[in-house]
Amino acid sequence: MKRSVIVIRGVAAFCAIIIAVVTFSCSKAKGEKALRVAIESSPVTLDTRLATDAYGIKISRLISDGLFRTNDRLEVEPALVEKYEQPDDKTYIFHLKKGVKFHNGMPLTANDVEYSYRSIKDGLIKSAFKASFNRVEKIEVLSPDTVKIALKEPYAPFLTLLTIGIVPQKVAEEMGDNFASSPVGTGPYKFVRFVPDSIVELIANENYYGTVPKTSKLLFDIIKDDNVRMLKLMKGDVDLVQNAIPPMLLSKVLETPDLKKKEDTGVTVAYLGFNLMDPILSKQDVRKAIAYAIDRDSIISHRFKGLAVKANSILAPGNWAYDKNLKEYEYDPVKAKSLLDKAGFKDPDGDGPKNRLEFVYKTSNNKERIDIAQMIAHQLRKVGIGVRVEPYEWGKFYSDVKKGNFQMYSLSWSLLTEPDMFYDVCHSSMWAPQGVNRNRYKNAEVDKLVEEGRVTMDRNKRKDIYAKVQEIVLDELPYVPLWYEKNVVVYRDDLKDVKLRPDASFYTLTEIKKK
Amino acid sequence: MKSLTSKIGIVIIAVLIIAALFAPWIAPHSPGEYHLDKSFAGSSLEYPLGNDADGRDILSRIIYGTRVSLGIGLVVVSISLVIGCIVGMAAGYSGGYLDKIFSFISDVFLAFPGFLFAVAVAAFLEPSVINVMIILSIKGWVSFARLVRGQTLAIKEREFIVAGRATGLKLPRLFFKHLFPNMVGPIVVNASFGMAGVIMIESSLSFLGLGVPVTTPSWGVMLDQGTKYLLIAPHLSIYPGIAIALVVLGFNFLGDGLRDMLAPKNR
Amino acid sequence: MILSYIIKRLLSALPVLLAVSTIVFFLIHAIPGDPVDLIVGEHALAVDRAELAHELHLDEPVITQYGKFLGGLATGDWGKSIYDRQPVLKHIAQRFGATFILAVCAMFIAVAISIPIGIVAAVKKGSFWDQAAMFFALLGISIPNFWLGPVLILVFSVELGILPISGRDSLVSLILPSITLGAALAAMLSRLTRSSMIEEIKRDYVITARAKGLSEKSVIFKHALRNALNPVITIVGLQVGALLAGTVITEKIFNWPGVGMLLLDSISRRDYPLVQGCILVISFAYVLVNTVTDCMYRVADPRVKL
Repeated sequence: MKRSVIVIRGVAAFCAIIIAVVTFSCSKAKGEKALRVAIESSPVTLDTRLATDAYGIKISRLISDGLFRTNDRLEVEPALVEKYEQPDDKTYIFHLKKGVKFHNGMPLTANDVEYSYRSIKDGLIKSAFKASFNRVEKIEVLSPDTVKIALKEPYAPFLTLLTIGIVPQKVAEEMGDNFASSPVGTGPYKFVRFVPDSIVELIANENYYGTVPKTSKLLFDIIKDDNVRMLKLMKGDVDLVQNAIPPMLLSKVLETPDLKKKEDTGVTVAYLGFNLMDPILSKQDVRKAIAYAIDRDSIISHRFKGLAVKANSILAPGNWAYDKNLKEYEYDPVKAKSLLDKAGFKDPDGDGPKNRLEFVYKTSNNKERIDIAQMIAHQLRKVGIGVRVEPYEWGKFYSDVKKGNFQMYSLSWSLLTEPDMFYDVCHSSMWAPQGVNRNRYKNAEVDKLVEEGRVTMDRNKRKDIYAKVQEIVLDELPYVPLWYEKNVVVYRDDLKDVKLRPDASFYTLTEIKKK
Repeated sequence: MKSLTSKIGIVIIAVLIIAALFAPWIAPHSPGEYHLDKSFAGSSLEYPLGNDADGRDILSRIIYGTRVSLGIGLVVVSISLVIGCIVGMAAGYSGGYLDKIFSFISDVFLAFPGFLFAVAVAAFLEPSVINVMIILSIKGWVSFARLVRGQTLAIKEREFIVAGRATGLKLPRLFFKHLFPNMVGPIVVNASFGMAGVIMIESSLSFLGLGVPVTTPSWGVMLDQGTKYLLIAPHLSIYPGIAIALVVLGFNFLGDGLRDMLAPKNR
Repeated sequence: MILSYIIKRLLSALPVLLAVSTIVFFLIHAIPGDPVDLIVGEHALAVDRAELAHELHLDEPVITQYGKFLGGLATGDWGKSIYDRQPVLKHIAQRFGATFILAVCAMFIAVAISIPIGIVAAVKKGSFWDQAAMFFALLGISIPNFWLGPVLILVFSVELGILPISGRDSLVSLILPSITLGAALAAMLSRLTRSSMIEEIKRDYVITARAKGLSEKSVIFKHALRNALNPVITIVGLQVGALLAGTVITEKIFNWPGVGMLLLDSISRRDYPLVQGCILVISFAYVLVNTVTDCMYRVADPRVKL
């Protein structure tokens, strides 16, 4: 009988020990000079050669510099490369910067460059960039600081691919799959630790060949819940949040007196995709009617609180290849209705409940996306287009979109900086599932133009080519560009030199000073 | 049904059933109607419980939500009850291998915490009302079956059953004419608690995005959408939460009352 | 005697574990859709796809996969996460501590609150306090924890600003999640303690003890309580497993990096091996805790025949 009491005491003692251990292990001192950034999801990997998710790319590129990097005008500029020459359209010779060292002290050599790109090309690691590197014929080390890369055919956007970071061959080979859990690079920050779904810790690379970061320590606090992220920022547990506060909640956050905000246009563009094989949506007038029936202004002002800009191309207005003369589909329900009449979808009962036509609108199960999809459906219903919103778990949604198992869907493109993407999105050889022409678009003129754009090296000529492409695509509407989401950074006012880039990259963090 | 709590339970459930049946007439607005200018508005005469992010009427959505919760609860408990009674009686009455197999199956099901089991199955299905019903029924029948099996074991040797068997009554008739009426009490009690449990798990699943589709106005979904705006508009999540608590409380009160009335020995 | 019982009891849990594993395995194979699609992305070549399918054993007959799965379970090879290619067990090991601590603290809080309430309610049976306590207990069972959590955050973190809403920074950040997780258990245990106490108080030995002139305090605490707690301990043991499962919601609300959150993340990433691992580890923990409680109970109470 007494034993039950003993058991209880035992349990109590056990709990006490646990609590003591927890308290002890949690009481690590917080870094004083650390810049604390809250992000909303864990990077998938910090190996720059593997990263395809937004945070994986942004953070891994702070650790690993590539031969080139994207600058704040979304152009490719040399990073590890001192200079390069192009003997012909298919051949590049890169001269590396001298004296660059990896974080472990080893010097950067041409062998590391050759290895990094070869490991992707030959599938030594399972990188999604493998297919892109298939364009490479040969990578050759000419001297310890010279590399020659030969392509199978001319490919204008090739340098964009070389923004993928360089890893030290010796370390990467030794560590194999584990390289991602403690990556080494030449970038402005050194890797310290990564606890998935919890934290990424980096420290400044004092021997960086470029400008050494102004804050010595960088912490990425992975906080999935919007409320928690906001409260942490408001309470000062976090210094900066970029693009991770829902617009509807931004005004609440900014009530905190010591928080500041900056906003600027971004490169993420949301669009509405159509299945051009569908009997209803293959009709251009129906697609145009949809474009006219969506009141994007009211969605932008209500849901985005103005933090989005109406889009008419999937290229952002800041992009060098963006065509400034593109027209705009302004909200015009009357025109939408007359287009539907013209397409043969007459209104069966005037203002009554019956729809002219009905189809399914698929979206991912991201809450924000569903809310917006429901608003769009609501607006379409006003002109007699009956749309049923069906949210799917991301995997199913994505695979349906690829397989063409949809009528209409919404998605967004982000980090698109190279107009060559029109080849992937619009060329008839790129139909999903092999390519990303998910809408099954086919236009002989567009095909010809994007083929030309890819092998044309002169930027002005390319600009004209892509202007024409954007014009045709906007008229034929295989997809409706909806809006560009603006970049927003909210930060504590003791931070100096906070900037925003159109691609919302984290390079800006290196410039921030903390008072 | 003397106690005050069971009376409260009955009243709550009655009100909710009326709300579910007559939702289109009772609800002051359509549950999907946008009023963007009323985004996050608090209580007003026109919208007694305020409006959600897109200005939809929270009260109307809660009223329509009773349909989802009560409907799923009723279907799942009915399916579980029917399957549970058949399996439980068969296992208890025949004994032997059938009973052993049943006992093992029920042990396995009980080795999963109920909610985890639901999450595990839901993880691999698309959110839909039918799927939620299937998921909850897969495990729901076990508790009924165990109960009925126990009762069958206890009753089957009693004189009236033995006598009935001797006079050559057919099995189904024996079950439903003699065995079943003797265990209605505990079954009803279990059904009442079952409703509470099912509604709770359904709303938990929906809260996690694994239950009913998010386009359906259900309480779990509303709570999930509401918590996002907790800091600026707590009423979005508080009212659906109260609705869930009320209905669960109602069925728990009722279950308690029924138990006191029908099976005082269990107390 | 005791040892052989424990061994026997543990062995008897094996078929259940096996059946649980089997269910989990076939659940994952019943789903539509191709996991390979998701991992290698749209640009993948057929060669890569085949290779990956091979690595995940997706190209083999289901029965072979099942054999390998069971073999892996036994030898500690639970597969690799599709998402980041780290071993499943490594992921779970990183997270299990957080979940365990949360569950234990929730249990601790529940026990600390419920037993005194149960005793008072039993001793003052029928009084206002009894009725109030039992009303709140029923309320506690009825309130969904995914509502309680946000409300606690709103009150204690936002309005009053006295408790942190999440994070692993200090002990205080455990308070709100533990209360959220433990509330229903506390409510249940106080009902149980009360009814168990009422039973005991009616028994002969208590009446004898009172007749002998022992103080009421000593009758209640030294005699009745000890016996009344036995069923409570059993339930606490049974509920640790349920608490482990309940952490799924609590962890989501409070951004607590445990197995529950790992499970939800893996579900949304369709990381099947990891989903499988999380469900298995929680179920195994549940079976194990139940078995251990059962043993403890028998050991603690010599009256129960082994």
